[in-house]
Order: sequence, then structure tokens, then C-alpha cells
Amino acid sequence: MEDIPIQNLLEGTSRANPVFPWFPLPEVLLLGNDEVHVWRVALNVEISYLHNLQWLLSADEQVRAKRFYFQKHREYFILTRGLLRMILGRYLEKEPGQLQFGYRPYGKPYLIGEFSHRRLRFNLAHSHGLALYAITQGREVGVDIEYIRPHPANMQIAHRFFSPCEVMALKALPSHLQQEAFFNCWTRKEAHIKARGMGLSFPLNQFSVSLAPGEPAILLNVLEDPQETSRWSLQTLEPGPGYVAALAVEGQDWRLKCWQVQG
Amino acid sequence: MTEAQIKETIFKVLGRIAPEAQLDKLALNDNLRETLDIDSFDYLQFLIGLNEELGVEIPEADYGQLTTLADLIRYLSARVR
Repeated sequence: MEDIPIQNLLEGTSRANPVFPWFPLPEVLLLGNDEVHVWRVALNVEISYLHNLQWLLSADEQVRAKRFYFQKHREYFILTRGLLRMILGRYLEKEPGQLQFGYRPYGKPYLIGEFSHRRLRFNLAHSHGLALYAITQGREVGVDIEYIRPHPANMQIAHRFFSPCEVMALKALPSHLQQEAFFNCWTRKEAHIKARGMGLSFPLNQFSVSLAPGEPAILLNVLEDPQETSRWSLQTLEPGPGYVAALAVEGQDWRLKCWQVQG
Repeated sequence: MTEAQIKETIFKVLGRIAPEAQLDKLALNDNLRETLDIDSFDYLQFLIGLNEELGVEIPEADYGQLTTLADLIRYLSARVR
């Protein structure tokens, strides 16, 4: 199979925020049991590169790609899935096209076949041309990213889907901070349900997260089972200007390493 | 309200989150979120829009059974006044 380099995928975003550390990929990529790796990739690639990635996809992924109504969504799927295969292939030291995925009831992919025993866990999200991939060893993980955009339904979403204490915290903030706080809350909740392998049918208002801009991401409570708050942790990610992102990880004792993909 | 009117309302609300789509080309059994690449955030906006237009509040527990256009029409037809 043709070896495809990951090149210059982050052009334009690598200097996005000097405070939050996104490092170039090291020569040797090691993932410790106490580490969580997050890869940041800009999805602006040449068509020829996309064509190469397409050949990494399995038959069922090719079928799924064909079902998208819009060309741009089809391309994003090929790109994000192809890159997922390349990233996981790098950890597993296997050809990306050899990897096989199974799917949890709500669609979360996981490795099956000869790779299932390696305990590699992963999750990905993309928004407005930027993708994040979170990888761990043996810990469930969820990641979400959103491009901040005003929408008249945001407050309705908060009232309908956020917990009462989240709505109260959101309303207590000065109006100029509310939009970022809304997306902080949303991405943290989404990352949490993704880590747990759940879909939107998980009642979003049954758990609460911190949301105020500049404050740490914390899972404040989970009504169904208070023990869950100690089982999971949250981390703010800073993918670039105009974006908000969050990471949810099983356990508390882990270290974050963030990689930016470039040639 | 007829099924045709419900379908029209679904398209109207869907058009707000997928404005470029020619929705009349959607097949009844297409998976809406997968076909139109609707993420969770947009999907919730879609459900809120349906609630506003039709007065039907859809509980989270029912989201799993609302995958296709046909599912939505069937579900809403049974509940809309």
C-alpha cells in the first residue's frame, strides 16, 4: 500500500494560541497508560491527498461515504476516517488500511479483530474545518469541538437540555461571556456523553459541568450516580481562535499531550 | 395536519440547518443525520424547531427511534394536534 505522508495539514493554525501547547509530532510516538494524546488537524487538503485516503477505507466505510448528500460532507468523512486510520496505524505500527472497526450502539467506533487486545481507545470530532483526535490506552475518552457561532436557538437549547444549575450559571454571567460559556458547556457535555459511548438519548440535563470562561472544566455532578463524578474528568482544549473544545477522560490520574500534525 | 404537511414542516425546519440541500431528493428511508451530516448540536436545534412549529416535544428517550424521514413523519403524525 502506498505510504501517505501527513503533511502541512495544520498550516494556518499551528500558531493559533501560544499559551496552550500543541507540539509537533515526535520521531517516536509512545503512549503511556497515564497519557492522553490529542491530535489537531486542519481539514484543508488537496483533492489528490483525499483520493489517496479514500483507498484506506474499508468497504463499509466506502458505502457510508457514498451516502452523504453533500460532496463536502463526503470529503470530510473520507478525510477524518482516513486520518483516524493513519493515526491509529502509527500507534499500532500497522498499515492504516488493515484496521477494522466495530461500532457501539450509538455509533462510537472501536478497534476489533487482531487489534482489540491493544486497549487503544480513541474518539474524534470536527467542526468548521478543524478536527481533534483523542487517543488513550485503556481509558474511555470523548472529545468535542465547536466553532463558536451565534444562533438564536442557543438559549433555547440551554433551557431545554442544560441542567438547572448550568442555566443559572450561564445567566449569571455578563452577556458578552455567555456565548463562549454556552459552547464551553455544550462541548463538555458532548465530550462526556461521547466518552461514555452514549448518544443524545442520554439525558443531558441529568449532569452538570462548569462553564464560565477561564475557569477549569469540571464535571460537577451526575444525578443518576454521584460516583460518576470521580470516575470521569474533563479538560478544556484550545484548538484555535474562534473554537471551543473539551476532552472527557476516564479517571483522574492522566497527563495530556497535544500534537499538531505537520510535515 | 396531514402527513404531507408534516413532511413540509420537517423540510422547512431542516432547511434552516442544511440550507443548501434540495430536500425533496431525500429518500424516506435515508438516515437524516448521516446523509446530511447533522451533528448533535444542529440536531437539537432541529428538534427545537420542530417543537416550535408543531408543538410536539420529543423526549430524549425517543431520539433513538427517529433516524429516517419516515420515522419522523410517523412519530409526529401520531402526536401532532
